[in-house]
Amino acid sequence: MNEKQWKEVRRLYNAALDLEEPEREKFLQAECGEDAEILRDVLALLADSADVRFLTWPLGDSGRVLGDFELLEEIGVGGTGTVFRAWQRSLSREVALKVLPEHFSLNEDRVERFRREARAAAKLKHPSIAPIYEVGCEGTFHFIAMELVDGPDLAGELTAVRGNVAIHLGVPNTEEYFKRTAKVVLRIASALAYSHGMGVIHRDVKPNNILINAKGDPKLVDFGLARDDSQGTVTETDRVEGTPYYMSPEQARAIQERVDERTDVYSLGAVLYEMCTLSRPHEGRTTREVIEKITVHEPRSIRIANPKVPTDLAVICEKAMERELVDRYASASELEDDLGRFLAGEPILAKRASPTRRALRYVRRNRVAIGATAGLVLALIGAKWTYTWTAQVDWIPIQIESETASVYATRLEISGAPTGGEEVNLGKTPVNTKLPVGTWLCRVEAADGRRAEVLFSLDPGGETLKRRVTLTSLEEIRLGMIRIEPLLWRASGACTFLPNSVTLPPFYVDQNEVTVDQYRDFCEANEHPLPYFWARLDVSRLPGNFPITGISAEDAEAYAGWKGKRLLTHAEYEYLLHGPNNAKSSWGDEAATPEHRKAAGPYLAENAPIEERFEHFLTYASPVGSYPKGATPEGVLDIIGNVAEYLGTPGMELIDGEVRPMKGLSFEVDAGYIQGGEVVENGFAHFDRPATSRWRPLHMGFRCASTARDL
Amino acid sequence: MSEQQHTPGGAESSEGLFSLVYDELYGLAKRSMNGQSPGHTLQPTALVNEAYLKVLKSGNSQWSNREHFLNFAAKAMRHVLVDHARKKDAVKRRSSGERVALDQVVQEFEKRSGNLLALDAGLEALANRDPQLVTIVELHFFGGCSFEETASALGMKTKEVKSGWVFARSWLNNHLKSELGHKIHPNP
Repeated sequence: MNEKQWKEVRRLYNAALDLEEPEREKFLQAECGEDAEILRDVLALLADSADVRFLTWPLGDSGRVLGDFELLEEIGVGGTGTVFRAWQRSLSREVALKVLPEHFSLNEDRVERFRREARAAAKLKHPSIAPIYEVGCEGTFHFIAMELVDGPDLAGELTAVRGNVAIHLGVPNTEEYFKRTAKVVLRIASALAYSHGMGVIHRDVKPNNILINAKGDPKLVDFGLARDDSQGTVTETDRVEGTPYYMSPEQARAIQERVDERTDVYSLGAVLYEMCTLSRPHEGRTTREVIEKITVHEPRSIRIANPKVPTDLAVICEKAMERELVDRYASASELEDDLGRFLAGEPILAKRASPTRRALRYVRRNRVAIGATAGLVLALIGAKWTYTWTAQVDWIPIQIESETASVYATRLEISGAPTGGEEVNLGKTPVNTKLPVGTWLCRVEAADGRRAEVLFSLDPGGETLKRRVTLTSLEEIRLGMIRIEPLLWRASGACTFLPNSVTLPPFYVDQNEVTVDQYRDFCEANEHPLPYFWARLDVSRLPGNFPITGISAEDAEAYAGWKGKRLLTHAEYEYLLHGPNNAKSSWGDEAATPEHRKAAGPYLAENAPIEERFEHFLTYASPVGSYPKGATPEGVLDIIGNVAEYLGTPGMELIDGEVRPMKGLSFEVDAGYIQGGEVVENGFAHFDRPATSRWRPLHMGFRCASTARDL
Repeated sequence: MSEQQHTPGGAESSEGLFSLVYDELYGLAKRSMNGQSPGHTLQPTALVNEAYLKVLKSGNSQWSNREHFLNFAAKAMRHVLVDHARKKDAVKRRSSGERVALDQVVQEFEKRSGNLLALDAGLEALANRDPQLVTIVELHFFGGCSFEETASALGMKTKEVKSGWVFARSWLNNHLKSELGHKIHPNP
């Protein structure tokens, strides 16, 4: 990095500190343009994973003590600060101390918002609201002391529910579970009704902000974005604030009109939805995508998501989450009252939506799937809606080339799991059209039965997607592939961005990673450039049966297209890694031995000289398929071990409740679980950089997949 | 040595300052060993300021500029601590009370920084990019200067110091983590 770049990184870092998502992302992308290196460096610095005490003055006790409070242990890190268990000296009691990241003190807006949070919340006294004790500042650390709630947050409790080890909510889908769920939501509704009466809107109601104490009582915390009517608006600009999953449509639209108490009602409805179905009403990779879904989509019907939810509770939830303010519960206390009626076994006041409204919901829910045939349904419910919910979607141009064939597109979940949406006919190749942002699988089929597939993800504001595929006979496609018949598969708790359970359609997958020889053939047949470092090194030392690496995700996609195949989806990859029973590894729960896969080499920096990395690769990679004991039950080899593999859907990671994309990577090796294609001996690894055409490391390979269509 | 430029008196006075800072550290360590009452909080600025007061009392006129002194003392602190950490790593020493006390100070610093030798190497790497950021870290972390004091010692605005500080801190954190292989993958 030269001095100019260094200065640029510093400038962008300091400028970005003042911004919040999604502005920060937009700003950096606009500023960095093509320079992925600078973007990567700035993002790494912004991640700011440092302990709050890192490099604070250690002598005396000024670092361990903030004002009246001694820090005891860290109990949580969120987007707006680190929370400690702390000891309040003057009153000899334990408290929860939320400390803002040090750089907050640079931004007066943020400090002001933080103080406002405290002022607004300190007025509130309600059994289901954790009280604020004190607000202060010591050096560059701003902090807020509040009641220490001895228990998990609702997000943690829901993870426990998924693993069937929940203490407070109990066993999911039982009558008792739904009763306890209704009770928790009722108390929070009561807390909100009270705070609304005091003129305070929470604006960020979500499971992470609902703590459950040892007695099982829920406590609402973190009025971080609260607006106090008596203090004017929090944000002068029209910034979208709040965690997107639980955000209401009007909040997500960031419209000028006032966000009122019904906003909290919606968010609490979304929490109820997740408690009932164990899935979020809307999923998405980026804040922007979630926001788009909320503004445009209707969530999947709660009773379809989980038919076991009692009808009345489902109706209450739907009423709380009505898109239009006038249809929603007018206040939190109305929601509270209806939950009370539900618990008492009395008739609730909310009514099932009318058939017209249900039809409208259906259309919104299946907006994309029925895009081509929506006319009929629309005619029934009035064309005036068309504009509102198509104009707001980002449509990205796509171009698919091949010999003449028909192309059909299906929308997938971000993970590659099916949405249940219908196929859209895109016409004959060459296809030159637009599709809405999201993940898509296209089948390309010629009249003679030859076929190909195209798997891709369209990002908001993305460039034209261009793919060229070769129509290939089924026999040829399935050569060297193994058929996988997924059973119902449940995602582990760690993978919260994947659906909780999903039945994947059957697919074929290459038994082995694509080899050097295979890739060389591809390059020769297509005049595709050889891996960039081959000209510089003695490639005769590179065995033809080693996995190909040193290529970009785009190279891998081009190879797959030439074979009439595609890359694996994230969901398929997870299935290969864990099987239907969520085993620790693809071969089962048995700990890895040298017979399962080769031991990982020592860490070598990506910017080490290519000669060094080449030696490293020759030493620590193996010919494909060298470890039969590490096979999946179906016989797929090297899913764990050898090289990491590019995927055809974005990789994702969850940061502060927000799912962020990591395009085309296999990643994530986590404590006790090996979820990526690589082996790491101790600890975890994840890849936190986007795969660009310039990222061509020597540890990333790939294999191909193909959807099984038997009829 | 870069310290030379701040010390017109040459090696003699810089050695004098080193021993002075060393004495201060020793005193600190001893006090913390004796377990002072929890009410007694050593102010972050106390160390270098106390050292400065002693220099003034000793009548050492070349340190009449407090800003210069702070700069130098912070570097001296870094030097003394890193040096001690290095010796601690290298040699098994007889445990004189003095050394043990300094061990504890190093330990206290390392609670906030991780391995001091690694931090030192990180600062060297940062110095290649931007020596001013290193000086900010020395004053604020090793010298215990507030942002305001750091700013006046460097003739900068407090806001510039703060923004330099958060950048340097993030950069060092990332640097140390990648050096320690926290985000490892085998990368064959």
